[in-house]
Amino acid sequence: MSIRGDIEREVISDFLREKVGSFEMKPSVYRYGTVQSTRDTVIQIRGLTGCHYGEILQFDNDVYGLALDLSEDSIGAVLINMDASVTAGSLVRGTDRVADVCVGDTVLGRVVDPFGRPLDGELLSTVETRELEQRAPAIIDRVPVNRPLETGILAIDSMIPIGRGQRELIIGDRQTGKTTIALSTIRNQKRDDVICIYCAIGQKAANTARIVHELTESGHMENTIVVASFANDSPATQYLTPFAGCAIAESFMYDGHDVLIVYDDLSKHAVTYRTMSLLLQRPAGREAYPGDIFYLHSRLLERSAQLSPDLGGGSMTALPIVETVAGDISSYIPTNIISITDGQIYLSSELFFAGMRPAINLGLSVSRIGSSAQHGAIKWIGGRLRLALSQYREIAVFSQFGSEVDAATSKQIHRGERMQEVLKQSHEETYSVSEEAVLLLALAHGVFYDMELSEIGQAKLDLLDYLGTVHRGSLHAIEATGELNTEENETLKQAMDAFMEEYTHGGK
Amino acid sequence: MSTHVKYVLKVAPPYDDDLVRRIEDGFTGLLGFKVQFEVTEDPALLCGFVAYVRGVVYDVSGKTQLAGIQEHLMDSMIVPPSVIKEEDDDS
Repeated sequence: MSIRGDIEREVISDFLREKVGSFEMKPSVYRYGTVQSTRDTVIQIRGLTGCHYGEILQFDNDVYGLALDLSEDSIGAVLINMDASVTAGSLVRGTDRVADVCVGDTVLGRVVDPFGRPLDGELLSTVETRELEQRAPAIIDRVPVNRPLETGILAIDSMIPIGRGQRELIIGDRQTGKTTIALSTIRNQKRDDVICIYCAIGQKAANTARIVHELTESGHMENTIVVASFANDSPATQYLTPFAGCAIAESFMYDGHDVLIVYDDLSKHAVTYRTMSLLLQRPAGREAYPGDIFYLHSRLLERSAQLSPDLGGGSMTALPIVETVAGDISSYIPTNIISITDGQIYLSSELFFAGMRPAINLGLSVSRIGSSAQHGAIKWIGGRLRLALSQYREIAVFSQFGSEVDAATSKQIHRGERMQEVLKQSHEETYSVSEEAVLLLALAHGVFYDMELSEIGQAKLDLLDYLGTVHRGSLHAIEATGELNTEENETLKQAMDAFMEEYTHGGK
Repeated sequence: MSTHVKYVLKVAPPYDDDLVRRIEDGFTGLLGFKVQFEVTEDPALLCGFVAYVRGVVYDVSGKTQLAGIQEHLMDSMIVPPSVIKEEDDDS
C-alpha cells in the first residue's frame, strides 16, 4: 500500500469514526396502522390514530401515500408511487409530515415533480421547502392589481389586458393554441424579470419534454421552473402538481418577486380528482365530480395575489388552462373556473382553422380587472379596437352569405379585415410595449387600410424596423413610461406618413 | 385466563423469558397500564426489539439504528450549493 493510500484510508476512517460517534442512538417511535383493503391506488387503513389530513404515510418498500379521508374507524389514502407490494395486512407508518416541495433560487431553471425531485437528470440540492397546502393571502395583505403583465401578444395586451396578481383563464377546445399563448407569455417575461412556473398536469411526457426543449433552446428556461406530472403517474401525484407549482410560486412572491404561473390544465386536474374521489367512495355530484371540486380550484387560484408593499409587493399571476369539448363553455368545470377567475381568453376552433392566430374570440373573452393596470399608450385605443373588431365580425358573418352591402358597411369590412390581419401573430414573435403602441397607433392612423391583406404581415415588421431606426428615442420613451404623449403621437404619425409614402412609392 | 390484551413484540435472537419480562415491566411503567407481549423471533432485526402497543411502534432494533447511521452519514456527505460555489470561486 502506498503512503498516499494509507493517508486516504486514515482520513476516511477518521471521518467515519467522527460521524458515527456523533450519531445519537434513540428509539424510533411512530404511529402505525394496518391496510384493510386496496382498490386501484386507494387504500383503506385501520388504526393510525392521530393521522391528519394530507399527512404523508409510509408503507413498506419506500412506498408513500397521502391521507385524504379521515373517518372514525378508518382512513382513506391514495398511493403516491404505484406499487403492487401494498396488500391487505401491510403496515402503514405515520410520518407527521404533510407534502412539501423544495423552493428557492436553486429550483430556477429546473424540471421537478410535485415533491421537488428533479426530472432533468441533474442533482438538486436545496435546503428550503414549503408545504403544498397554504392559506391564501388575507384581504389586508393584498392591494389592487395595478401593474400590467405584458404577454407580448397584441390582441391580448390591447383588448384583454392582464395585470400582475390577476387570474386569467385560457379556455378553448383542444388544438386551438391555449398552451401556445401561455408559452408565448412565458417567453415575453424575460424582459421584465418575471419568474415563470409551468405546471404540466398529467401531460404526455413527450409534450412536456418538447416544451422544456423549446424553452431551453430559446434561452427562457433560466427564469422558468417546470413542475410536471405525467399521464402514467398516480392520481395523487397529478392531483398535487398545481399545488406544488403554487407553493414554489408563493415562496418567490413572498420574497418580493413577480411570478407567473401556468396550470396546464385544470380540466385534467378535475378529472384526476374525480377519479380519486370516486375510488374513495365520496358521494358523486354533477358529472360525477365530488361536491368539493369548486373549492379545490378556488383554494388554488385564491393564492394568486398582488401583495401589499409591507409584504414585499410581490405578485403571483395565474393563467389556468381549461379544455372544452365542442366549444361548450357552459359545462361544469369551465363555468366553475370562469366564476373563480378574473376573466377568460376564449379560443375558438372556427377562428383557428380560418387562419386567425391567436384564435381569440373577443365576444366571449374578457378581463375584469386588467384594464386598470393597462399602459396608457395601449389603453387609449384598446377599447375602440375591440368594439370595431366585434362589429366587423358580426357583419362579416352576414357578408359571407353574399348579401349586398352598402358602401359604409363595405368600408367597415375592409378595415376590419386589415385590423384582424394586424392582430395575427406567430407563436414565436412577441412585441414590446412600444411596438404594441406603435402598431395600435398605426391602426388608428389608418396606415394599413390601403394595403392588400397579403402585404400587411411584412408591412408591420417593416414599420417597426423603420420607426426603431428613425425614432428610437420615442420608442424608448414609450417603453420607459408606458405613455404616449401628444408630441410623440404627432411625431410618430408624421413618421408613419413618411413610411407610407416610401412604402407605396418605393415599390416595397 | 388472562383478560389483558397481548401486544406484539418482535425480538432478535437470542432472547429468554427474563428479557421479555423486563421489557414488559418497562412498558408497563412507561405507559401506565399492564403490558403483556406475544413474542415473535425476528433475526432480521440483528439485535434489540420492536414493540407494537396501541397503534404505536417502539423500535429499538439494530436494523433501524444502522439505517439511522446510514442516513446520518448520507446527510453529512451533502454539501450545500453555497459551499460548492465558494470552493469553485476559490479555485
